[in-house]
Amino acid sequence: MSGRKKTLLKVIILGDSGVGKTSLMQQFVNNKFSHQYKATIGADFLTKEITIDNNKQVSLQIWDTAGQERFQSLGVAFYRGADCCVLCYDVTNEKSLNNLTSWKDEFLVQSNVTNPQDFPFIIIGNKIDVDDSKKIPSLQKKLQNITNNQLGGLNYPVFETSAKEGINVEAAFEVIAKMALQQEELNDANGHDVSDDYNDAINIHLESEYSGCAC
Amino acid sequence: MSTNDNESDNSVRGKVSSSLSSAQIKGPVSLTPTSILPSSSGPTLALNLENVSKGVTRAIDYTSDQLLSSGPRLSVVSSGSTSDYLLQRQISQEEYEGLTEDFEGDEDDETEDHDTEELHNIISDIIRYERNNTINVNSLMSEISYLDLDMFPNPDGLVDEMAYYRQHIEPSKSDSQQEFHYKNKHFFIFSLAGKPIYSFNGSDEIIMGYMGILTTIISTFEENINEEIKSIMVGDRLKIVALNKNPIVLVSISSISYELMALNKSDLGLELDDEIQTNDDKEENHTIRSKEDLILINQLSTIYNYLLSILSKPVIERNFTNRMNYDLRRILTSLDFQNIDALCMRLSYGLPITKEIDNNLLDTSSFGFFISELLDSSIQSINITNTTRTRLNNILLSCKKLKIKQPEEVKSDAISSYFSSVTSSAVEEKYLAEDLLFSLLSTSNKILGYMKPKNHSLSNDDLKIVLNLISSSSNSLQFTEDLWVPLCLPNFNPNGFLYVFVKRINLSDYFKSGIQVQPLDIVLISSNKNSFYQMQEVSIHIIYMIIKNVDVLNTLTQELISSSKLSIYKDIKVPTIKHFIYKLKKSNQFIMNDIIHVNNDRSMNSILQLIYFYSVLHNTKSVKIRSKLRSTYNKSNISSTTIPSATLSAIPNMKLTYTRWNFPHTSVTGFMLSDNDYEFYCLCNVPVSSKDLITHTLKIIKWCEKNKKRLFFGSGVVF
Repeated sequence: MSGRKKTLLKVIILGDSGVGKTSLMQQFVNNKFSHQYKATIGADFLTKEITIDNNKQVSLQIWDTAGQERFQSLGVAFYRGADCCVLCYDVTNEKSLNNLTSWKDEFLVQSNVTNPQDFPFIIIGNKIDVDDSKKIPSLQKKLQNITNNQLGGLNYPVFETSAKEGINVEAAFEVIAKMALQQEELNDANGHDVSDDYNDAINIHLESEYSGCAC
Repeated sequence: MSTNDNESDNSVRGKVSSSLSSAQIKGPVSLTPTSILPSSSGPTLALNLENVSKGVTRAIDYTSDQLLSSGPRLSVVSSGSTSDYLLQRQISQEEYEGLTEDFEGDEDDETEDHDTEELHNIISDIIRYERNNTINVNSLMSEISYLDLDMFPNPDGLVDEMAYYRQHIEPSKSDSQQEFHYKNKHFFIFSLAGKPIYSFNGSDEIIMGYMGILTTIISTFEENINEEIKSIMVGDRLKIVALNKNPIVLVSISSISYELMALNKSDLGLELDDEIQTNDDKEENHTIRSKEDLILINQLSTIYNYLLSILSKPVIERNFTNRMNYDLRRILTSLDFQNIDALCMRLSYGLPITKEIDNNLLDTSSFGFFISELLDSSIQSINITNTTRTRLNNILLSCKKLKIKQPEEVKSDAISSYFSSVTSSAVEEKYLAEDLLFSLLSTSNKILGYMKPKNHSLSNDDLKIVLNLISSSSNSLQFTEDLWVPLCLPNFNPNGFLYVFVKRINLSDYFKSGIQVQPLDIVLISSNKNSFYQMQEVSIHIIYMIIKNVDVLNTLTQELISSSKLSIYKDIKVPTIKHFIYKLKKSNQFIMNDIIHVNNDRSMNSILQLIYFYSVLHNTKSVKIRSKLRSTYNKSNISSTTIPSATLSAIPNMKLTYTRWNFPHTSVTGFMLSDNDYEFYCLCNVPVSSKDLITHTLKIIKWCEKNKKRLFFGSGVVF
């Protein structure tokens, strides 16, 4: 039972179809990359254990969802109880960048999290290995525009990664874990575990003739 | 996933892992099970007959198709050599003729009690008809092995009982996919967010993905079809059953034949409806669960009840309120996980979790637990004289009359100053055991005496939780220590705790000679969490009352020693029947004899065999005798008043089941007889004529009825 102290975190990866969500996850968990594109059907689940801040054991349960519209009906089950949400876009696909907001909104609607402002999101721009000419023109400006105006003006951490080359992937997931853990600890501080207060004593009403009778 | 390709040389493993390690949901989850999980290589076990050499296929040659079908017949011939089959048929034929002779001889026997004879005839008739209820088993060994029976899948054709146990039965938390997929049985508990809470087998890494898949399937059903998923049958040897207790979900996956049998009790329909309504208030309007899932559903309910008993419902709900990402494992201890492991073992196999599993003298309380579950939460009782039971109950009752001692003694002074409430009211006379609600005297998980208040009682499920608590703390429960734990009894009240005091006493301590007697447990259930010292004093009083009178002490000790070895042969003087279970329906309590009389051991092999035989016997559709009896009785003009109660008087919805397993060197006969008052099950592992079987069955039933007060603790004493 050594694993008891491990924190288990549920991480959801969202984003348009083809931005490389599965590749990111495969690169992170298995250090593998496949050139073939295979659409995720429904969702994939992977687990990876990492150590952060040198001593905290964290188990990441990664839910890689399908980007395709038709799988959105799988809904609530995916989003429910998530500890962190990763929003992905493709640095060569402007539409996927513009869709980040709707992915975030979709998540907040479905997951029904209590404090949407505090919920940890992280943005990943994937495929930075491709030729600069193919990238979205003036990407940084557009990205800033989106984070400032549409994502509620919040400063979500942004990572530019390459699942293919394995650039920045590990670093991104480490931040994901840290943010989720922070959130978890914050939750704990607010509402501590309802565990060892066995104070829910039952009010037993034995009939009065007994308890009152001294004869 | 390329790793799976590398493993494809091992086709069993390759098949399983390639289809599941990627843990991918195929398509939007549809209603057809095959699209959710790959059909032949389900999540637990791959059954690949091609891998298995011809010589061992006998073990995997499932007779289950017929067995699982709902018809009353179990007539199955496995694909052994033809000559074997013919031989067996011949034997059956001879026996059949022998039976007819018995039957006819019976009629001529004028001295035989007329009514019993009548019943004989009827039952013989039915048995003759039921002769087809025979399962032929081709065994290589002269002794019966549980591996010869159609209990478990045996993809590798293992013939060594221990090896099979290690590979397929014993829970393992290892990282190995292969080990995981070999197991016959899985239990999972996870939150609706898909976070694992417990798994019977497999490490976190292995199960995490499955939790995700299961969560998705379950929620998708709920959202899109607005219905709760109940079970998925994968092929005909694997079943997945889910119990959604929002915010947590319990799932069991089984490939154990006796768990996949449909419950065919013809009177089950009614009971089922009641149960559904009490269990799931939310589900009232939903379709009633099919009977086939009931065995596994009951197991999941028992595990859920365990969770409730340690946490209580509000604690679980509060933790998940506003944070669905909550990890329930944070408030569970390693002891809880060990207890759930033990519970799962008992529920599935009737075995304890122990390192010395091959020991021939296993603790049989797990077997008793299994039978209790099989018989709808019946509680096991123990054979002691009515005088002793009454004495014990009176001792329990006397505790309620104890007055609090005057505060002049130093000890009680310390106590009363500790609890200010006691001090303040000590001036008035107060009862020591005011907060005591229920008391139990038990030994080896069997109840001897029971005290309860007038207007409250504990359901059998709650009693089981209490007994389970004692058996799971057996290791730590020393004679010198007292156990004091908060416990939520879900049927009594799922929203709060009662406080349980357990004191174990060793009666042999009070004898100079080295008498060996099983320990006695005093269980005091209080409504006040600050009443530990009071309960402790009550327990001292109980011990004092037992030991102060040499007569009480002696008889109790003697009776405990002999009752643990209840023998049909010695105590009831019946030679053929080796094991029986008699359940009194009214109080839902049962009695059975020591399993040592079956094979002269209490080994894993014997326990598993009994579990299989009794499960099949219990779950096979029984034959109603009622209509036949009536017509016979009308014909023979016997007024019902002359019929002895042991047989037919109340008439009674009488039913029977007769099953027989033929082995090359022996046979096992299973017989079930029930009416409105009782259910009786028995096993003979020597060839027995139907005449003897009936005579002996009726003899045991009469004995049980005669000794009802000795055998059952009834509803206890009331204060």
